[in-house]
Amino acid sequence: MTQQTTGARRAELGARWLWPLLLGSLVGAAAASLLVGASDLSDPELRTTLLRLRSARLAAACLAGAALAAGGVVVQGLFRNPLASPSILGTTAGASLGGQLALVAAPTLGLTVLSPELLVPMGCLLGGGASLAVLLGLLRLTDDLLVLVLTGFILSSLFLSISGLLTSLAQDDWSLGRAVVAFSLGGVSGVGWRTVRLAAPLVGVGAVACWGWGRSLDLLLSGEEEARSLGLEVEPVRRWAATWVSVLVAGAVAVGGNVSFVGLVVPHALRPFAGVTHRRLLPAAAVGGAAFVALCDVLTRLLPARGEVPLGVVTGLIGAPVFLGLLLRARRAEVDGG
Amino acid sequence: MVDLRASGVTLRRRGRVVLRAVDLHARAGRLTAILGPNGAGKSSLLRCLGALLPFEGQVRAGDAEVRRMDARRRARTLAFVPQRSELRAALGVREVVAQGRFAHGGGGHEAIERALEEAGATALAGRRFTALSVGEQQRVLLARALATEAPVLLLDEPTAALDVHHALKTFALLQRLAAAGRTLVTVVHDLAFARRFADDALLLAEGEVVCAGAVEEVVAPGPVGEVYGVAMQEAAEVRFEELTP
Repeated sequence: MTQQTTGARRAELGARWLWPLLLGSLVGAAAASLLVGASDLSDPELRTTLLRLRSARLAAACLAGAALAAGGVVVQGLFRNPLASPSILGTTAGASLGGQLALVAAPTLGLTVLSPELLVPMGCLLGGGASLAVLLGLLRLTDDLLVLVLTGFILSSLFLSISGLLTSLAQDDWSLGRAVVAFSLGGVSGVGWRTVRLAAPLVGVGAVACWGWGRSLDLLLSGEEEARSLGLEVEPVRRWAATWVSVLVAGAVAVGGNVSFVGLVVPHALRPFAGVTHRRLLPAAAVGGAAFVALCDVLTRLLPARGEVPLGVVTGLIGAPVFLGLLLRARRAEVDGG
Repeated sequence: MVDLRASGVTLRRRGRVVLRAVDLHARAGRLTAILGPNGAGKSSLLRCLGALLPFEGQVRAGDAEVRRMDARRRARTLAFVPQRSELRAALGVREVVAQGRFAHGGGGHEAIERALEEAGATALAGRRFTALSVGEQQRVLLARALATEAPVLLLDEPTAALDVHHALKTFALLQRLAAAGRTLVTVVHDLAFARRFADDALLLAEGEVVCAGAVEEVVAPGPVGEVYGVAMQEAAEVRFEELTP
């Protein structure tokens, strides 16, 4: 009875306060993102330029956060595992490698027609797409979920190794080496509106498509056999969900590089309040992820460091202990019979 | 009213024959029990009937071959109730029952409430599925199957985790559902329950049909002795009845 009351009270409180809190956090993070920085907004000559640069940066942070958190919700549903993250499919590493390749190859091949602002995101898309193509190719041969996970793991390992090789090759050129390392650590500081405009449709379409698959993903929570018996064609759902998550991840990496823990922590933290059904959790996670990454980006400017602390470092520093705390709380609830 | 007919159902898994040329006729308005010792292939046969496993042979629900139906039509025709759900996420009971409406494109508030009531799960509706006892979860899974409004129900040992009181209630409910015109096929472990509540039965041993027909002919000393290696004494029956409050 107590459990029931606690659960019902939490659900009721969640339903009442979740969205005001999420939207409040997003507005607060956005305001801080626009107002906080090394340069002063009081100078009327600089204000317009600074606000334009910071708003592009804010948009990039929101896009990356929303995409990774929404992707996390879908992947966790797809694998029926709240500890899964979008990187499990290997597309994060693929997109990241694509971005790094674009950075390195552009000066080597003399690709000056497109600016790095467009080349890097396009590299991310191609990298993520290539990784997805391998994954889907294998899914045609077998529908085993374990094969999907192992393939994602192998692809990630392969791409990370190639990324490491590229990083060491790029060290010959100091500025290129620095750019490659900065990209792999994640960040939105140099992102302009052109990149945002390129990634925004991917994230928007990806998020809406994932929301559309929400009911099907809800059925998969009961396992494949039950889902099939309830009228679900499991294989297409799995293929499309993997595709749209990859699109989201490619969009996120294109604007933010490697930003860790967002897809893992945000859905996990919101699930007790928003519920587990995908059509409720996904929008909440998208807004929560946007607010979280925007706030972390503000922290990159405030933490004591030479220049800015990389965004991926800040999300990791916050995400890892928060995630550990959530895990311990869930474990305690399990032991208490909650 | 939909009859379910299986003919020549053969199932191979990892090179082993699990079912060999099984025929079954489950009639509308009757409760058909699938019986047999452990490893006889009872649950596998039930899954073949629901097209949840790939098999050779034919299974027809009415005029339609179940594997030729699209997934949603099949779910509106045959509802499957597993022994235990794999659901570990914190879904509410009403949300779980609403999954039964997926094949109808959602909605169906009245059907959900009716299913909860029929399965005796209305009092559980405000709770979380994972917080329920195994027996309560079983009632919710039955409600989900009823919410599909499928004329054929396939149940995998629906009373395996239930005490005698809840087992009696469940079989009484299954009898009522059959009497209302549904076709019920259930895997049963307890021969006494099968004899008392089922109309027809099919006895499997090592993936082959040993005996099929009216339950009195199947759960009889001959076939039971042959398959289980036990002597069946009909006179020694201990009978439980539900107490009326």
